[in-house]
Amino acid sequence: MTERALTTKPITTAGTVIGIGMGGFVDGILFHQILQIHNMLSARIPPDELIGAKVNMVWDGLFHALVWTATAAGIAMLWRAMKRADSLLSGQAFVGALLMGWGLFNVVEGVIDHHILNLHHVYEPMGQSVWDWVFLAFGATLIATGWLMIRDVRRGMFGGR
Amino acid sequence: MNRRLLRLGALVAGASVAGPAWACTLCHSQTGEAVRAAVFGSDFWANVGTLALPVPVLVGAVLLVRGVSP
Repeated sequence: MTERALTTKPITTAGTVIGIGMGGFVDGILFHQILQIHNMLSARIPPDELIGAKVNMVWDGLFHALVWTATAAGIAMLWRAMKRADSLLSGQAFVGALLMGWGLFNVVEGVIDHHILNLHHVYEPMGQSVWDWVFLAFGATLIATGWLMIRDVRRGMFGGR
Repeated sequence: MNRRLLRLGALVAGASVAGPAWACTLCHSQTGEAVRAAVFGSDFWANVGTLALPVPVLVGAVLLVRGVSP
């Protein structure tokens, strides 16, 4: 019987999807709800009166439903990864993938929603501002950090190749 | 015993269904109607589309990460 080579693919896929979901929760909980510096459609529908605030609340809820679904899907993938015989259960690869997912969320959501569609901006009172670029830069840093962590696991597996 | 549990369950289910209708302070108000009109206006599907637009890009990114992972 031949042994299957170990791979981090199942755990990095699960970690990235969970990271996307949890990155979305950071955005929604911290920026939309606690700090209230923007909402899902705050560049189009100002949330500074009751109806506008409640309409944005509905769209924030749909956004949270999407990131909840991503998190749940990631947990299901993690469960399957744990049961695979060829899955390398590396904590470093998993945490790296979580950071990568969070960073991917920031970059993709930031480019599409903040810069292309102008649905909202990080600090809405300023419109498009330096904070939108800080958001993207933070996302890119998370992706780079996550990738370095995953690459480090690869070096351990293949001896630097 | 099972019948009593069933009755209790039905009571709790009934109360939980009826509860939100009474608890919702704005459902039957002008504000509630204005919110529903704004959410389900002519731009509803456009807003759904823009909300969902990052999803296929993120799915592609996840597949890319999977592809390059060791």
